[in-house]
Parts: sequence; C-alpha cells; structure tokens
Amino acid sequence: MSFLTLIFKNPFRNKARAFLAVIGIGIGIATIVALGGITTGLTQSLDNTLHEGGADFTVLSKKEDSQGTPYGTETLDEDWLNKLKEIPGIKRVEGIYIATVPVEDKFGMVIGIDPNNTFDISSMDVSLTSGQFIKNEHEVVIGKLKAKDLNKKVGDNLTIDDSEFKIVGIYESGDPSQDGVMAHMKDLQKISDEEGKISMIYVFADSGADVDTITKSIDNKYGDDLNTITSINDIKMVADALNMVNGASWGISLLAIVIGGIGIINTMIMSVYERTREIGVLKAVGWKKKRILSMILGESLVLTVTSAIVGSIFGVIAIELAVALGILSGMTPVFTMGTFIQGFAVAIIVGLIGGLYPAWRASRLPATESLRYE
Amino acid sequence: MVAIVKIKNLKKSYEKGNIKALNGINLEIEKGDFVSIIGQSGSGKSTLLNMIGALDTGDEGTVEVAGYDLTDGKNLDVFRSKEVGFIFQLHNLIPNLSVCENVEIPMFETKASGKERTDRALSLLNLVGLKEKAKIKPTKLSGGERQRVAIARALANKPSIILADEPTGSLDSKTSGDVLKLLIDLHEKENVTLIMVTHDLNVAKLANKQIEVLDGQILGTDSQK
Ligand SMILES: Nc1ncnc2c1ncn2[C@@H]1O[C@H](COP(=O)(O)OP(=O)(O)O)[C@@H](O)[C@H]1O
Ligand SMILES: [Mg+2]
Repeated sequence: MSFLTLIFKNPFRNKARAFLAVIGIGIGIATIVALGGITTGLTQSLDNTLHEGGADFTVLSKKEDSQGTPYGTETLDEDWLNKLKEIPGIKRVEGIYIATVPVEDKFGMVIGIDPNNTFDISSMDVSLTSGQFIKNEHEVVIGKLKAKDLNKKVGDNLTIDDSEFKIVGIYESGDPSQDGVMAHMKDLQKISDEEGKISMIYVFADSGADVDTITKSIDNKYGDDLNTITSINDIKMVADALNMVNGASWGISLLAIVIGGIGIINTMIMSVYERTREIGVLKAVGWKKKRILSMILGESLVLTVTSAIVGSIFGVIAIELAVALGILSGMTPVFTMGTFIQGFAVAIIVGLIGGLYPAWRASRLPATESLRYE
Repeated sequence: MVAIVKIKNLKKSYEKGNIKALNGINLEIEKGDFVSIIGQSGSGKSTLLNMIGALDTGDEGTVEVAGYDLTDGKNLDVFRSKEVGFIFQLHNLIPNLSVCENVEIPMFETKASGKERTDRALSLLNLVGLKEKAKIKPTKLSGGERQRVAIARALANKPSIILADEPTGSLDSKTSGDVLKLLIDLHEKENVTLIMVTHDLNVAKLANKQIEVLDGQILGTDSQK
C-alpha cells in the first residue's frame, strides 16, 4: 500500500458523510460549470451571428448602442449599403432586416433577407434539408425545429401578421438560435411599415485588406450614424451582460469557496475527532507531524477533487438536459477547458483551506491523551 | 551489562500538579531483558511506559533510552519510529485497512519501498501465525488475532524495545496465554527488550524482573531468574 492509497481510502470510511460533503461542494462546482457553459455558448453564438456568412464585421445604427439592443429596434436606411460599398477595402455589403412579428399565433423573430444579394448559404451554419431557398416575395423558409413546432412542411402556408406566405424550404442549423423563420426583406419591411429600412449590415472586406483600417475609416466618416462591430465586446450591453454573468460566476465561486470551505472544515474536524485514538497510534508508531498533516490535508483534497469531478459532470448534464427539455431553448452551451479549470481550481482551494485547520489540529494532538481517548 | 533504559528522578504531574502520576522514578533496564511493571490501576504504570516510549516527556528528571536522550523532547518521532514498538490493551488497528496494510503503517517513515513494506508485513504476519488472514479486514478477526496483528505491527521497524501496556487486558485467559507466549517467544528469538505493564500478578511473574509501582513511585524490584 502506498501513502497515496491510504489517503484515497480514508475519506470514504464514513460513506454518508463523504457523500454529503461531495454533494455540498459539487453543487457549487456544477453551478460554475453550468454558468460557464451558458456564457461561452451565448458568446460564441452571438459572435457567429456578427460574422454570419464569413462577414468581417457588422454595422449597426449608432442609436442602437445607446439603446443597447444588438439588433432590431433601430434601423438604418438602405442607402447606407451604397455608401459603405464606396469605402476602400470593402468587397461586399449585405443588409438584413429583422423584426419581431406575429408568426401564426405567437410573436417571433423573423429575418428578412434580400434573395438577390444574400449570403452564400453554404458558408453559413445553415443548410436546406428540403425544398429550396427564397427566390421571390411571399416565400419563406423555416428552420427544422420551427417546422416541427408548428407542424409545417414544404408547400404549407405560414401566417405572418395577417398575410399568408408559402413555405418553400426547410433548413437545419447547428446553432438552435438560428432556427426560426427567414422571409423576403421586402415583405417583412412592409409588414413592419419600415420600407427601405435595414437592421444591420454585414461587411465583407477584400482579401488582404486590414479590417481595423476599414472600421476606423467608417468610424471617422460616419461615426455619428453608424457603429462598427467586430466582436461582441463592441456591443456595450452585451459586453456589460457578459461581464455581469462572469462576475456572478466568480461570485458563486467565492461563495462556493466559503460555504464549501466551512463544510469541509466541519467534515474533516469530525473525521479527525472520531479518529483521535488512531492518530495517537500513528504517533506511537513514529509518524511525524508533517505526515499526519499531509494525510488529513490529502483526504480533504480527495473529497473536494471528487466533488469537482462529480460537479462538472452534473453541471454539463444539467445544462444539456435543460436544452433538451426546452428550458434553455435556442442556445448551444459550449464547455471550454477554462470553465473546468475554474471549477477544479475552486475545489482545490476549498480542499486546501478547509483541510488545513483540521490537519494542523490532528498533527498537534498529544499522543498520550489521544490514546487515552475513549 | 548495558542499560537500554536509564531514568533518573522522573516526575510528571497532571491537572496543575494535583495528580502526581510519576513522583521521582529511578530505573535502569538492561538490554534484551524482559521486565514487567505491576501495580494498581492509577499507580502510574502507563505514564511510565509512555515516557520510556517518548509519547510524552516528564516535568523533571532525565530519560535516556537506546542511546537517545528523550528529556529535551526533540526528535521523539524518529526515536519512536526506529527504536520502539508499542502494543496497547486495545489493538487500535485501522478498520478500513487490511491486516497486512495495518502492519505496513509504521514503515511509512522508513525508506522501504511499497513492495518491501508489503513483503516485510507478510513475513511478520507469518511470524505471528496470521499469514492467511493478511488480506482481510481486522474487524473480521477474533480479539486474540487482532492483538497478534498489533504485535506484528509493533515489530515492523525492527525495534530494540517493545512496550506492551496490558496487552492481554481485554482477552480471556486462554487467548491471553497464547498472546503472552508469542510475545515471549519473539522477545527471545529476536533478542528484543520487552517491557510489559500489567496488573495481573500471574502475568507479571513471567518476566525476568518485576517492578512494582505505587503512587508514582517504585516500591521495589523483584528478580526471578
Ligand atoms: N493525560 C492525563 N491527564 C490527566 N490525568 C492523567 C493523564 N494521564 C494519566 N493521568 C492520571 O495519572 C495517574 C496515573 O495514570 P496511569 O499512568 O494511566 O495509571 P495506570 O496505568 O497505572 O493505571 C492517574 O491518576 C491518571 O488519572
Ligand atoms: Mg494504564
């Protein structure tokens, strides 16, 4: 038997107590992992939206930023498309119009596109599973999940506002937030009474052109009206929200450290107390203080690292389940190494902080009194 | 003859001096001897044995065992690891470890590798007649068998002295006899000094020398052989 084996065996002598400790700390770790998965997922999906079809950056109305919403509410005139095209280094621009309108019996987001000047659909995270893409007005394509939800197939009609549209195709997207309705831009503008308006412009730079230089020249020239967005951090509200969630995640980490730390101190003090005689024997057979200290500290770490493993697994399962059950619809959680590292770091800190005092106490127990202990 | 234990004027009190557990002990024990310490409950036998084994230090006086000066309280763990093997009234085995693993416990402070530890533990279990039970948990053993495991554990680091505090105190007389026989055999075979605390006169008589303790003082020494 190695010293490590001994350290691994000891914490599970009292199964119920080990279980409770692992659950207690595991919940904190699961929360950290779950939040991490959600934020990274949202960040990546927003980032994909901003670079749809391989766009280098996005242009929004300046007013949008002050209002905060990333798309939809504040629109731009279609003329901007032509003005932007004049800027050196820009190869192509594409405007889309987005509106939240009544779809069948519920409000839903519809993306209006210009079929004559639209993305190369193959470069998007979208592919048609049946039918074809929009060619004319009064045609729409809908996502696979949406189709299932509404029980529609190619050839059926879809009611948007009060008008009937023909479903000409059904698409599939790797990103569930993209699963919705796409309509002809002109139709959607008419429904919303915003003819000639667009919500956002995707800008594609010439290959080799410096995106930074292009955005700077747009900012200089049209900075009063337009806002260039290369990453989601350029959208103040999104950046603020992400910072808030990140802050919350660290807050929960801190809370997990404090609560988990108290829990593990308690667990380990109980364990040391119950093993007073045994620790006396270890001293009698010549164990040094340092070895007793490392054993108890090691046991504490075994408990918290087990919690980190269990918590990480549960965090991932909980979020995936929430997505599958539609509680967190329209998002793909993304779990990165960094999230798990944060979880394990918290667990190790809890193990060290929580284990130190009980370990120190154990190492200082007077041998004779420990052996007299009933 | 070489004295392995040299104690001069050893005093130890508890409860702010109200309990004088040891009240001026002077004692020498020869290397390789078998000595019993006898006396009533509360007379200070265990306290004396613990001082010899460096589990505690006195308030006054000097203790020297196997060449180590234990008076200043330094390196006591090294001394315990190298020179003494303790056997208590209660076996004090670790319940979640196998019999063999329990015997390995003292060897963690030595340089022995994992395999060396296991091999030595198995050969010690063979010596106490428990090789077949090496893999099982001590909770499955009888009282006498557990005490044999404790004896094997005490021998783990080849101590020069074995300190047994009422080793048969919680065993029936038949089992007691077997355990005592084993202890005495080992003492003779391994030429290890054996100091045994007991309050049973018949047990004490098995030793070469009996030391009688009363109220923290040595009443007298009786040599049999
Ligand atoms: N750690 C301690 N704290 C307080 N009193 C103690 C302690 N150890 C021993 N004593 C007291 O010292 C006296 C001698 O105890 P001990 O050596 O255990 O006696 P024995 O082993 O002969 O029964 C007893 O009165 C006992 O209560
Ligand atoms: Mg006693």
